[in-house]
Amino acid sequence: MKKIVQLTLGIMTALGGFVDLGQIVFTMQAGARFGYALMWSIALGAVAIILYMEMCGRVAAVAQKPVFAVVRKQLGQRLGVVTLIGSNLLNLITCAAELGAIAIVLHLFFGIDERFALVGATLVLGALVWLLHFQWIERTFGLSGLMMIVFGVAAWKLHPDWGAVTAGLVPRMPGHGSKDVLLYAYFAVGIFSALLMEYEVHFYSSGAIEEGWTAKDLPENTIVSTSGIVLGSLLTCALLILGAVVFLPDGIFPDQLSTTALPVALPMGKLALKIALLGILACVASAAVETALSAGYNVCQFYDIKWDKNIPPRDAPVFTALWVGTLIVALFIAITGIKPLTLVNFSIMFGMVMMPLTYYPILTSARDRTLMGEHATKNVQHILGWVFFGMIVIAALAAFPLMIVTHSGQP
Amino acid sequence: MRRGLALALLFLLGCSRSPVMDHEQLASERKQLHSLDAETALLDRIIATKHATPTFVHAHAEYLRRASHELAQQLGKARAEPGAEAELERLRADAARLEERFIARMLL
Repeated sequence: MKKIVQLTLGIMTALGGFVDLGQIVFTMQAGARFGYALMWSIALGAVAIILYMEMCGRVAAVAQKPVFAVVRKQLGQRLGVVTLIGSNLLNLITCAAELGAIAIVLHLFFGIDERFALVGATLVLGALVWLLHFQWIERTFGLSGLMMIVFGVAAWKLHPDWGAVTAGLVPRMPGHGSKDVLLYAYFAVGIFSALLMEYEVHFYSSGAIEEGWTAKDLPENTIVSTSGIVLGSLLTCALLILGAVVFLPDGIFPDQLSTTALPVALPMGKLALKIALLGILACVASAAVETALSAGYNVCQFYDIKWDKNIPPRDAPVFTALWVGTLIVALFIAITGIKPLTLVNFSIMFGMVMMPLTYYPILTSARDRTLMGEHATKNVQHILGWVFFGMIVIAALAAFPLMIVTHSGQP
Repeated sequence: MRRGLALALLFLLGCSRSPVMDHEQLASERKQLHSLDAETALLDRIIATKHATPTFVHAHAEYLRRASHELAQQLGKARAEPGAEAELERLRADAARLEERFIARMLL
């Protein structure tokens, strides 16, 4: 019974913590621009993240090696340092975007001044991370994120054309000139990248070690990574459906975070709007915490410095200084007034560029029989891993050129 | 360091617009203007059915006003390529009207 409760909690936490600012924005914009036509990119991204998250959880459980320990081993010192700097820069930008988004949601909910909300929220988040153990951090934010289910209910209530939704799972080129094709490609890459954001695997793999997973926990790893992400992806599909049903017919391009809550208010009213805002708040707060902690995990794992969220902060001083420092610098970036959606646009594309350097070490380590023994990746999964790695490389090469030619996806 | 600067430059290029706008860019600006206009109509529907809190409505309307102001400023600074001047002027006038509507709404 205890195991079932633990497993359910794990799945719910993974589901609640799956969506972040990038996914909310990109999928709703994609729905508003191309209807259901990019549903396939959510499916593709979901399969890829299931595959890689399972692998990194397995490597952590069996070999007790988190992501940046395998990055150092597989890429070597020089390329490893480049990956470390790039990943932590990405964590910093993403963290700043999520903090900015928290301030916007608090402003929308309570009407309080955005700068005050920004500083207050950062202090509260810092205090929570300082005081809580890893499992409680994960559960508090992950389970609060379940309020995002209200977006799924709203999508259901708006009666989308389910035939068209299903047809969107098959990629089709839009037929309105080269600009549309480039925009379509930009959003496909954006959605794919948002689903595969690196900090998710850094955090998941570090969490597996924080929670003391061993080879005995591999079934839990498979179930949590698969079920949590499948359910989380359904939520992402709901966001795309809302964009297609509510915004596309009127030619609205959701360019404000506040706009993304309107499709819930429209069919369901004030209470649902409040739940949606709280759901977004939980998701962006969760992502802010995960990116700040990941910055600490990455450096400590790469240089083999003591890290552990379950010991007093003073016993892991470098790790503590790194996540606190990331939170503070991110606060300063956000307080300059740069729009969170501008930051997240950049972080998603930059994340795509960095992705091969994180996923290649995971792919090869999970297959390494000397490291993984009988738990090394089987042939089919390994081939599938390479297929997705090929897609990741293509998307990484296309990310910045697409961002430039589409002016960051402007209609 | 050099790579970092190159990335920053790429980013700026990706986010910024040339001050000289061609027909395609003007069409894109027109879409953004239409989007803001349509979003205001959607917000009005939500207000009419009392489906949003006053705090949310006020804050969201302010974000839309800021967006329309930015768009109007961007169009104000832009120059049109030969043959697109009239279209740019029309857009400027529409953007100014939209911003005025937002300001009037905030004063209500």
